[in-house]
Amino acid sequence: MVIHSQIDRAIRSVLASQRVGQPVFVRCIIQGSGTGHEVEKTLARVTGLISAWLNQQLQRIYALRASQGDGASLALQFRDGATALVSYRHEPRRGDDLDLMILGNHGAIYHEASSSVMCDEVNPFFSGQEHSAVEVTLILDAIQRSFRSGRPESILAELRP
Amino acid sequence: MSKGKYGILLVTGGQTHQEEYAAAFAEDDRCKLVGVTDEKDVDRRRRDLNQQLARHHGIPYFSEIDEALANPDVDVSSICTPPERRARVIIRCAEAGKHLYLDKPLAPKLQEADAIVAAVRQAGVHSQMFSFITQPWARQAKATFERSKIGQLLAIHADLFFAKGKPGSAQLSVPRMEQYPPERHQLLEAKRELDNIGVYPITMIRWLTGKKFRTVFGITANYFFEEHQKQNVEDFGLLSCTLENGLPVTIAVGRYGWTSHPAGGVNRMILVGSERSLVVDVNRPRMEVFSDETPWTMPLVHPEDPMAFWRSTQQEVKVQPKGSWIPLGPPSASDASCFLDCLDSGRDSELPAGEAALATEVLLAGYQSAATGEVVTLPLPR
Repeated sequence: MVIHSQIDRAIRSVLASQRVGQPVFVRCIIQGSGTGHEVEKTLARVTGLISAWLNQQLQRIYALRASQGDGASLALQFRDGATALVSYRHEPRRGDDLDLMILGNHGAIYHEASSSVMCDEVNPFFSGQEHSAVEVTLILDAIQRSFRSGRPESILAELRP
Repeated sequence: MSKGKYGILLVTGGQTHQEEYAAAFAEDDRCKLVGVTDEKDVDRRRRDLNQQLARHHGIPYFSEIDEALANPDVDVSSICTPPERRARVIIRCAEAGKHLYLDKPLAPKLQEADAIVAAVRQAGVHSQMFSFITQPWARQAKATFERSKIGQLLAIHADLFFAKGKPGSAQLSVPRMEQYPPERHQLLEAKRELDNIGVYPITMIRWLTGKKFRTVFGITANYFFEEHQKQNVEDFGLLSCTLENGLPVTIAVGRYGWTSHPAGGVNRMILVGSERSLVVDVNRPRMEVFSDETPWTMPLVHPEDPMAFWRSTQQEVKVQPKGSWIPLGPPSASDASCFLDCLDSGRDSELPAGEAALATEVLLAGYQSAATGEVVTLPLPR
């Protein structure tokens, strides 16, 4: 059984080895059964994790809600030029999973949903590696402001990568 | 079916997509290649490349496009003129009453795209821009989508990356500053990849949903190649959009290097539905083959085509196919043959100039957004 924290460890290991060069773009599609505020919180926490993989400070977030249901997508801009697209798709029947594509300037890392089965521990993605609650709150604040304004919004404080 | 009933005029030749389109038309029994032509004042290099394609197919080169268009044997103009002069050539061919097979994207400027649409309408000719919508996997996706197997469509996420070029040379410490309107699109060693590659998912999403794009947020970047960076054109782009019904759409495109993918690159679209999601992946289903043969290696860099844009230059540096992934799928008719099917039945193609112009508008909105950092609402002001 592969769990999210194992994916996180594997990604950090590959990135540290420099096999794909410097990471520049992350595409992440989260599949889960969350609703409402849970979705926003998950997006905020995954955004924090991506910031750590890229080792860059998050600068701006443009958030789009699904026209119906509990999906949402974020376009992320980081201070040193990296970018990311993070989406949440509500799939209550299929369990938690995710698609990942991390592009480095010398290669790429891929992980496809359905190639892993998640354990149902609480927040398996973040065990031991997550951003502080303050940082997640700042990201969540930017997501919610962008939902309201329909525009990209800046992070209102310095976040460590 | 009568053999050779459609006379095809190739407008602009070697080191363009015309190499592919000409081969596709030549393979279709309904066609006869009439000749290659271009505007009379093209530079020496372009004329030589045009003549090279004419020689390859054993057909004449007409140095005056008007002379070629006056030939009554010409029914269809296949136009691969560089973007900067593409619109006036398309309009000329339309005004000559020739059907139009068009390279993508349609034209770099909104006014040009509008003028093409008006000229095509005025001339009453059929047109089709090259795209992926005629591919079997696209047809299958549309059929599944239209049978409502996924319930209500809630979001679309599309990724398209071309695994070509030798990556790792872009200076990541130099952030891209996008300019609007974009001026340079296709150079010898680099193209604008949001424009060049982004047109595929944009046209696909419009074709699948029947909906127009309403808002566009875009970012462009130089992540992989110094060739793009030196010419101030992007090798990567992302779009976060809504369609007219509010449906969110995210798109990531780019050229990311030969060794970034086991096959030709990621080409995948996820249609998120209320009942289930439909994953359209060109590389699935597939077989995977591993053996003790010499691993695939990057080809030599062709000095005139470092990004491996063209068939002829790839042949010159002996690019070998990657063999470890073998996608499984039905053989497909060429996009060009699908256009001929439309002409045979007297119906419009599914991607005529009017639809192609909508894609141009989305791409321009993406560049405007990338330059300003703001969300752009469509339609763009005229």
